[in-house]
Amino acid sequence: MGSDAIVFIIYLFILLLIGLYFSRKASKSVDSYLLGDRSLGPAVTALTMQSTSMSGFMFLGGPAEAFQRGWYAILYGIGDAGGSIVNLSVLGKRMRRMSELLKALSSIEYLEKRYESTAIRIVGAVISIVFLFAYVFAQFIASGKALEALTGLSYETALIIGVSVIIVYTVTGGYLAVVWTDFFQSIVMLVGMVGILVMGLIHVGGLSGLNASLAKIDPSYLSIWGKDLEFYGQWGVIIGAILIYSIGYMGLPHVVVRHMSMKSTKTVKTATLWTAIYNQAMAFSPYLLGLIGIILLPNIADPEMVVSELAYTFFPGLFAAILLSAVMAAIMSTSDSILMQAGTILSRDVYQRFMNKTADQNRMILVSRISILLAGIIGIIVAIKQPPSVFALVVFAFGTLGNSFLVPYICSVYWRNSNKVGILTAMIAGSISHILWTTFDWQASTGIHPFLGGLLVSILGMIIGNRFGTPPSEEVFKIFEEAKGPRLLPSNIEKNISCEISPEAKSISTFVSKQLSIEGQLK
Amino acid sequence: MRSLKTEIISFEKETLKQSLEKMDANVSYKVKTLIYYPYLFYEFLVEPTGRINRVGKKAGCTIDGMNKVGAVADQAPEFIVKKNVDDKFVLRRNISIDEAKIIAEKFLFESIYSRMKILKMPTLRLKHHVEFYRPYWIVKGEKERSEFYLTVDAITGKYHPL
Repeated sequence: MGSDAIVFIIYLFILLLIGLYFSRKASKSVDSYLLGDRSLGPAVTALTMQSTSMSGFMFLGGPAEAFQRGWYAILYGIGDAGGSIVNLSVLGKRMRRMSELLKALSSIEYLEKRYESTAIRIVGAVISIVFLFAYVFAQFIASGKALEALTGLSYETALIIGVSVIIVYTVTGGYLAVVWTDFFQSIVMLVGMVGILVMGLIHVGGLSGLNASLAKIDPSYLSIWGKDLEFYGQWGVIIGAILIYSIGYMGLPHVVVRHMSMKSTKTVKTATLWTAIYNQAMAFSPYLLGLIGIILLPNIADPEMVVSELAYTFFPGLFAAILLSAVMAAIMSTSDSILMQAGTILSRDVYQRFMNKTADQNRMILVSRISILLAGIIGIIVAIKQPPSVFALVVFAFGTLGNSFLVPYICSVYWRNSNKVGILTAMIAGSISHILWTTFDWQASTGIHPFLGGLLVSILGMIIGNRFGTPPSEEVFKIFEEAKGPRLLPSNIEKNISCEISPEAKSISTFVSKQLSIEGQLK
Repeated sequence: MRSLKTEIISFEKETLKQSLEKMDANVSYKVKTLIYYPYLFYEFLVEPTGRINRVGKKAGCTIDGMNKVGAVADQAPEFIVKKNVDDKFVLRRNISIDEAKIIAEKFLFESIYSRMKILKMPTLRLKHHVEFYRPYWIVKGEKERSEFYLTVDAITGKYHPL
């Protein structure tokens, strides 16, 4: 075993110690684990959240795309940097209001209740499960590559070890992912990524030097049309590359849990700001590192290893090994949450709902964990037999999820008469078209990015399908109008409304109007 | 009149008025009255399933007594005062103690199994439960010719329009 592998084991051991120390010290109850420690400041909270969302894509996929296609790849970064803001401003308020009114806990349950259709729940759950697992497969491949670089083992052996570590970590990790381990990792990742970028920029003479060197090698690296002007004039590809991450987030199923927080919501708001700042710093770094790789590592065999090679080039072996350990840890912290989410959807929304309504708690956990184990085995087979690139697989999974759910979510809050047939058509047409567009490389013949193609088909499916469905019930119409507002409140007051007490407010409103009469006693 | 277990108010009339007016100086507020909202708090002892799967020692869940919705609570409410309140300011819960317990157990199970890395569900044993009422202010805001009503959690200061 090489010294770098020992560094990785020590790194994991330190994480374990941090996890155990803080879980014994601070988390005496399940509640504090589930809710997170609210005494932490907003910056810590934000960095902790980011360590979960930063994945193998950031360290392997993004840089490889830039290495192969030049500045064109930065289009994905633009979308990534602005995606969460677009998501919040387009869907945020209305969807949150309607979720509360429908009493929906998850995004799939939300669609089911909004359109009063079990079929939507089934189709939504199946699409989510399949493509969340596909997203994790990309992390598996990344783990194999990261461990291969660290240990010197063959890719296959490293992959099996990497996936095994992820699966064991996911199903038996207990307290391992407590807030402080995530925070520790986010700092290592941030320092590592920024450290390599700064060193890289110094080596190539800053951004100007980088561009000058790229121009000498091949001027088309500087073009937004891609290397060798691969996508010249194909606005459909350019727009699709920007759109996938800028609006695709709106199509990602996410779990919404209503917390009855006992403390201020200020932390959440400031944390969101910190997250946005962190995203701006991190969204472009992988692509810039890929561009630096073109100059400093022109002969690298696997472009996905640009970041690790640069780490070993700029820093002593020990530091580089720590950074690679953090990459592996980033992969683990992303994989476990997605695997848990997919396992939960499968056991609750499919198994319990349709196959075994009386399943007890331990049976539910068993089904969830077995599905995670199966995903691991299938993931290993796929990653060994025909490994796609991390970038391609992430974009494929993300794009399909986006094409399936983006139109339904937007219509649910902006199109009053949208109905279940329209939504089902949009979901199915969007996902299938994205799969076909990617599989048969229709981008080459049409000049349209698979995400944009899938989006257009999904919109078309929505419009056509909606003509064949029946309008939603009066109850849903009422909720739709209520969610739309306007509430006619001063903007500062409107901004700080605590949505988590919305159910209480509704009950109080009914009570007050009946018992006390706003017009009478309260006036 | 009813005798209720309730929490000490953190936002008194004047403090609340000032906090709201800080947000928008052009709005004038009249803090009207207090309404008492029912909750049921359940605390469970968590029995670990093994050495590896230590999941903690206790778990708390608060059930909204009107909407029958659960929420993980990270601290038990502090019942400092017992207060006599006129019935017309108290919302009567529409959920039984037993029904609330089932919802609390189900809610905690959902939260634990979907987010914690465990192979087996730990056993939850009810340690105690308590019914309490949280005070909410009814506030009227006026800006130029328009008016609106808010309800404000008198413990946390969180608000929502009515």
